[in-house]
Amino acid sequence: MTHELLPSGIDLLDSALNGGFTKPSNFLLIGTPLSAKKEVGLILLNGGLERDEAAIYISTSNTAEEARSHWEDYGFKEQWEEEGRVKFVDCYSKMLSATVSDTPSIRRVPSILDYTKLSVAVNDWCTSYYLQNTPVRLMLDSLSAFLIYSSLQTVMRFLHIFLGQLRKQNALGFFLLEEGAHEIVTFNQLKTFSNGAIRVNEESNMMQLEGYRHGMNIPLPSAVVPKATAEASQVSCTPTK
Amino acid sequence: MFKSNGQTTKVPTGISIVDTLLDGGMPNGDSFLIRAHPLADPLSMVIEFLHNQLKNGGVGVFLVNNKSPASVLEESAILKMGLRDFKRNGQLFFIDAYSALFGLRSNEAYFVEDPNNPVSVSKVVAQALSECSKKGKVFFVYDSLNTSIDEFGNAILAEANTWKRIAIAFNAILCFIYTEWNYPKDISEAVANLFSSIVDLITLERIVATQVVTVSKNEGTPVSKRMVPIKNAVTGGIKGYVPKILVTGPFHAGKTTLVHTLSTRAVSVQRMGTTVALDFGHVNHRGFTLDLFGTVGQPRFDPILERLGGEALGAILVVDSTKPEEFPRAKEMMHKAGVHGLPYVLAANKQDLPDALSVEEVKKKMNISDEVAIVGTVGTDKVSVVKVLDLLLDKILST
Ligand SMILES: Nc1nc2c(ncn2[C@@H]2O[C@H](COP(=O)(O)OP(=O)(O)OP(=O)(O)O)[C@@H](O)[C@H]2O)c(=O)[nH]1
Ligand SMILES: [Mg+2]
Repeated sequence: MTHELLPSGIDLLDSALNGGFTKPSNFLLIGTPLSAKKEVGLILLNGGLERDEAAIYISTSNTAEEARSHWEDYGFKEQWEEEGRVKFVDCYSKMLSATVSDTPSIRRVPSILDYTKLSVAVNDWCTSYYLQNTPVRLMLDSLSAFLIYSSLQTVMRFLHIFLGQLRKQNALGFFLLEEGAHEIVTFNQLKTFSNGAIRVNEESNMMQLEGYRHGMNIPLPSAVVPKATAEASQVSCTPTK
Repeated sequence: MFKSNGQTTKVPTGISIVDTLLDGGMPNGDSFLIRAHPLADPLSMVIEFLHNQLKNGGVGVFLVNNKSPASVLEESAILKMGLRDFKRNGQLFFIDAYSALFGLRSNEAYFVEDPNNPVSVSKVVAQALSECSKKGKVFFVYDSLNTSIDEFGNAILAEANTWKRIAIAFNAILCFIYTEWNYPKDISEAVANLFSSIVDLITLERIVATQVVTVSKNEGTPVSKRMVPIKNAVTGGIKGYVPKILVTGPFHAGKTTLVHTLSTRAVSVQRMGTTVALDFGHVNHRGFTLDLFGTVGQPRFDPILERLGGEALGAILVVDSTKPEEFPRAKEMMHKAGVHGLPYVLAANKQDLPDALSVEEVKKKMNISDEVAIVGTVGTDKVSVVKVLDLLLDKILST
C-alpha cells in the first residue's frame, strides 16, 4: 500500500489532516439535513478530479442526472465525465421507472435494497480505475437512505464487504449520514467502520474532524457557505402550517 | 429429462457447464440454492435458467423482495433473454413482495401485502404454486433469500419445510437466490443445510471480479469439482470461458520462448527474431484450460501492448536477469498493458547465462513487494516455467 497523502481539495482541511487523506480510507460526512455536507463532499471529489483522479457518485434519493445538475453548481466539469473519470451509480431512477437505461457513465441499480447490483457496479468501475492506476474517490449519498429501508445489521454486513473491497482497490470513500436521523448506537457502530468523521455544522459554517485530531474546527470552503446559508434560511423562512 | 442414480429426475438448466457440474441438471420436485459471493451477480444466471424453462413450455413463478418485477423484466431484455412476452402469454407470474415495503400497491398476479411476515410470504407462495402448477411444470425463483434473512433473521429458515412440501406436492423446481453477505456462521451453515443441491458463484481473486461457477453439493452429497470460469456474453447467455494470462516484459527477455515452452500448441507473429504482434499459446494445467498471450517487447509497438491486456486474469512478467537496465521498462509495461494490480509472478529469466543476477538480486533491484512470487527460469526449461504458472494459479485462486 502506498502511504502517499492525497490533498483533500480544501486547504485548511489538509492542514488539519497533516497534508491530506491517506489511501485507502473512508470517512463519514455527518451533518443535519440543512448542512452543506453533500456540498463539502462534492468539493472533496473535485479535489481529486482536479488532480486527474476519478470519482464515483452513488445516489440514493436522486437520479444521477439530478445529482450531476446539482454538482454543476459546485464546480463539476463536463470534461471530467467525457474523459471517463466521473461515474454515477444511481439507486433511485429504477424505482421510479424500471425502463430507464444505463449510459457509459451511469449505472442504475434496481432498488435501494439490491445491494448485490450496487456492489457489482461500484466494483466494476473501481477495478477498471485500479488497473489504470487512477486513484478514485467515492461518495455515497447517503448511508441514511439505506438505513431507512434496511436494518442497521444489514447495512453493516453490506459495508463490511463493500468497504473491504474499496480498501483492496485503494479507494477513498465518503459516506453521508444525516445528523439526528439515527440513534446514537447507529452512529457509534458506523464509526467503527470508518477512519474518521467530518461533521459539518450549518450554524457555525465550520466543519470538525472526529476520530482524527479530534475537535479541530475548520471553516467551510467559501464555495459552499453562501449557498448553504441561502438554502437554510429559505427553508427556515417557510411558514409552518 | 432423465433418471440419475435412481432417485430424483433431473431437469437441465440449459447452461451446459452448469448441467455438467450438476450431473444432468436441477433436482425435480426439490429446491436448490444459488449461493453467490457479494461481487458475483446471480440474477443473470437465474434469468437464463428461467428463460430456458419457459421456452420449453414450462411455467415460471418469480418472487421478488428487493426490486420491482419490472426491473427483472428489464434486466432480461438487456440480457436478450426477454421474459416480457412470457408474462403476457400467461406463462410467467410474479409474486411481488417488494412494493408493499414502499407503501405501494402492485398489479402483479400475486402480491404480498405483509412482506414483513414470513408466514404470509409462504402462504402466497403456496397459493401461487398450487394455481400455476395446473398450467404446467413450475420453475419457481425466490429472489432473494438473503433479503428475507435481513428482514426476518432465522425465522425465514423455519419456512423451509413448507417449501419442501410445496416442491414435492407440485413436482416443482424451487430456486433460491442467496448472496453471502458477511452473515454469522450459524446462519450461513443453516442455509447450506437446508438445500440438497448448491450451485456456487464465486469471484476469484482480490482485485478483478471474475466469476467462477462450481457445485459444492449435489443431491445431498458434498462434491468438490471443477471450477469453471464463466462469462456472460450478452447475446449468447452464460458460457464457460478460457481465462487469459498475459506474458509481458522487455525486448528480448524470453516471452516468446516461455509461451512456447509452456503451451501444448502455440503460434507467434515474429519478424526478424522479434515479436511484432503477439504470441498465443494454449495450456492445460490443474483442471483449467488457459490461454497465454505473449506481448511485444519493443517500445515502438506499445500501442499493441495497450490493447492486449484486456480481461487477463493474471500476468507473467519476464525479465532478462542479465539486463537490470531494462527493469524499469518491465514495470512500465505492466501499467501500459493495463494489468497493474492483477496477480502476477516474476520470471527472472536466462538464469543459465554466466552474468545473470540471482533471483534475490533481481528482486531487490526491481524493488517489488514480498507478496509477489519470483522464480528463476530458463526459457526452454519446462520445470522452471511450469513453476511460474503454478504460483500464478495459486495467486489467482486465493480469494
Ligand atoms: N540463454 C538463454 N537464452 C534465452 C532464454 N530465454 C530466451 N532466450 C533467447 O533470447 C532470445 C529472445 O527470446 P524471445 O523468446 O524471442 O524473447 P521475447 O521476449 O519474446 O522478445 P521480443 O518479442 O523481441 O520482445 C532468443 O534468442 C531466445 O532463444 C534463456 O532462459 N536463456
Ligand atoms: Mg517475443
